[in-house]
Amino acid sequence: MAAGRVLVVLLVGLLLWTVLFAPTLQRNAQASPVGARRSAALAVLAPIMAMERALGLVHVADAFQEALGRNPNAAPGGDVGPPLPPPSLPPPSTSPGKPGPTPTSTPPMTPAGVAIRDPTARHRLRVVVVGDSLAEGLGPAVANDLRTSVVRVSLEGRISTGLARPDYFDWEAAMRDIVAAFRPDVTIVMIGVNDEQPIIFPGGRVIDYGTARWWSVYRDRVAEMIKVATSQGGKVLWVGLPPMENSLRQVNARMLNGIYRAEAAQNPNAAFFDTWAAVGRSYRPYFADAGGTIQLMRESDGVHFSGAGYAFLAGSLVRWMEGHWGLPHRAAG
Amino acid sequence: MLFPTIDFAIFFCIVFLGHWLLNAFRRPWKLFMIAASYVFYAWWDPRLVWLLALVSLLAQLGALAVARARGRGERARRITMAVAVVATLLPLVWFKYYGFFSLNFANWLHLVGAASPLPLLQITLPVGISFYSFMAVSYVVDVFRGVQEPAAWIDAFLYLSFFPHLVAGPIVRAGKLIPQIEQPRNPRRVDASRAAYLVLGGLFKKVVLSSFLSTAIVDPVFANPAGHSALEVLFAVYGYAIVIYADFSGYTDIAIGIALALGFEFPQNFDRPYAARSLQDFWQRWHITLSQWLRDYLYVPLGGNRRGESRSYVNIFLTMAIGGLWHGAAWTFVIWGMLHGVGQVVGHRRRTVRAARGLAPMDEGRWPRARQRFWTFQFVCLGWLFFRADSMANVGAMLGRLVTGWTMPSPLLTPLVLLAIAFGLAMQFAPHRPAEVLQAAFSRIAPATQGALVGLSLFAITTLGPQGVAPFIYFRF
Repeated sequence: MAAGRVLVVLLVGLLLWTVLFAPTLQRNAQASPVGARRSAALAVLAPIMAMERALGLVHVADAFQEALGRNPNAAPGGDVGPPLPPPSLPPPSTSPGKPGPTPTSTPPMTPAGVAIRDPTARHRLRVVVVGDSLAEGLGPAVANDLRTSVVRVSLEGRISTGLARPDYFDWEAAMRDIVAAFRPDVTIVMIGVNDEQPIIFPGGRVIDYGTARWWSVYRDRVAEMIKVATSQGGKVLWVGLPPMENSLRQVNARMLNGIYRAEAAQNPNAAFFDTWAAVGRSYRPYFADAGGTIQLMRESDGVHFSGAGYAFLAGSLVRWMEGHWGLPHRAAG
Repeated sequence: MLFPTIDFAIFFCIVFLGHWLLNAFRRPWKLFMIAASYVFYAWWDPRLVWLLALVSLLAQLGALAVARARGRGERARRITMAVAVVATLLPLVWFKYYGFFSLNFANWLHLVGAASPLPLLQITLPVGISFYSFMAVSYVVDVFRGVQEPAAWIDAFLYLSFFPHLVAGPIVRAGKLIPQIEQPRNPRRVDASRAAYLVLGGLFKKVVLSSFLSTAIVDPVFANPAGHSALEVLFAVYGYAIVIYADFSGYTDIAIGIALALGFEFPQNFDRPYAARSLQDFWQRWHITLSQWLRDYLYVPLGGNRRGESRSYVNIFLTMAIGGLWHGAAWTFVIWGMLHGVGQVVGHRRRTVRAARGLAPMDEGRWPRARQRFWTFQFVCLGWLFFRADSMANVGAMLGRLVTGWTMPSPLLTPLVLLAIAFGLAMQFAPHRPAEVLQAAFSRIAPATQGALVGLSLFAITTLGPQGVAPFIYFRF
């Protein structure tokens, strides 16, 4: 085949794909971080979508997606809610089992609420880990540190999400669904690395990043997240952002941690876990694990943890819950 | 830049046009392709572009020095070659292995109460460095062996940076690619049907099959073995065998297809590896260009089979162990390589014993062949367990669950997961003929219809795949 003909095939193929996929591309572009790339994508896609609507092609594309088993109107960040609700779900506050021991010492971040219920094999403790990619990494490590015989861990971390972009993935709504379906005794939250951007609501309302209004609305979103997560009697352990390699991100993490800490202190069933106290106040890629072996604990992006780092952090969290919320030792793996 | 992205689609349309417009003008064409390849590489991290240039510079200086040393004695030639190879490999050693060795050194000294003098540095591994470093080494050694003349500077830089192979191979030898760089490509004979088949098939393998199995069973089970049943652990390992095949062979198919659309022929890198009847057979079908590289530039220089049977076994073991380390600076990769080394040595020994008894290397017949394939696949999957695990503790947890988790429910073992694994295995036994018929039929239809078929296929693949595509597994090697 001649090269010119190949170019025709290539362009026709890509054009057809763009037209058919335009609704999804537009949704994804709207949900992407604010910037030149987003603006350019939306500018290119606007006339294509206008043409599609005029010709009724949107329905053709949607029907094609449905035929392939996809929801053409799905939120860009995916559907909310846990995929596997457990069969029986007594609310945490009325669950059987004795309450755990009261902590002997109460550090400033410790809440005044009751201890975690004593789990049994029949009524396992329900723990859910929610948040962004940090939670995606932390969740399995927490699950590895808890005994499946008496604890059920649901992993609900979602990559590329945050509290700043409910137009992309609405964590408040997701948390409501999770609480309704899973009734968590403990919700572990680790979120915030993607929140250095404007807050955009599903209707398109934008609050510019860094303004006083942004901080106020963000604070409200954190408070609402805690309120929803504790609405059925469960506890929230809000895990602070780790130290960042980039100095600007480090400053931002410090400010966000301040909000998380302050809002957790407002709710008797919530607590803030100071990640900086566990892994150091400045960015350190290497440090010794609980066994004394030096490990590479952070990913090279200067944000995330390595597998060993997540294991270290999860171990610290479980020990914290044992010490402050009376998590029984037999629940820890 | 990832292949299955809009960025790459736009990039490729521009490069395709520029490539064929400049094809007849060799120097502008070469400069254009080098610039395009460096843009492709810089898309990940522009700060590391200098590294690609540095390795190219070292390889070319090394090749010229080795060629110049031909007139001197054998010893001088060998020393020149060794210096050139070491210099070419230094960036790879630094970026990929310094952290691993300094960390282990620190922990060993820690055991005896001493502190390490080596600083612990977190070094970002540049994408593709293992691949272009190995190509650079093969270029220098081929010049030393006299099978390749030093290329012109511009050709050597394009050979190492040519974007279709740049980040994850295939590892193309200088003798195969540089002659294609030197001569204009024929714009009237582009094998577009095969290119489309390879690119679309590769996209399907990566975007649909690999992504689905990764998220549906492999990632959750490897992340938390204790929370899953023995059956889920078993099928997560089988699933990973399909994931890594679909991911890597999918990438290679796209790379070969893209090169074909530009008129270049790349070597085959996979040949239905899970149909292998022995480990030796497996390595002739899996990542073929790496296997051949290890054979020609590691096993043979170690002495190959020229120094007796026992020494050849040592050489096989060392080659596989170093091959494991090439994949990643972690003990799990070293053990994976050593496992294959031991397996290959046992296989060689067995064939030698059979030959001494006057028997064929392997039993023939339908059932013996099926049995050989079954056990080879099980052994390869055992190796993948080490390959995928993030630590030896993770390996232990997976193996432990295989023993203790038989009474637990297996909600992740859905019919779709089983179907995807079965499909991945069935691909290993699919005959070539239907694909050839399909390509021939595609080549006979009108360009507009061809374009429509390509567009519809792309739409089906992107709709069936998850949102966003994870980087290819082999990018980190």
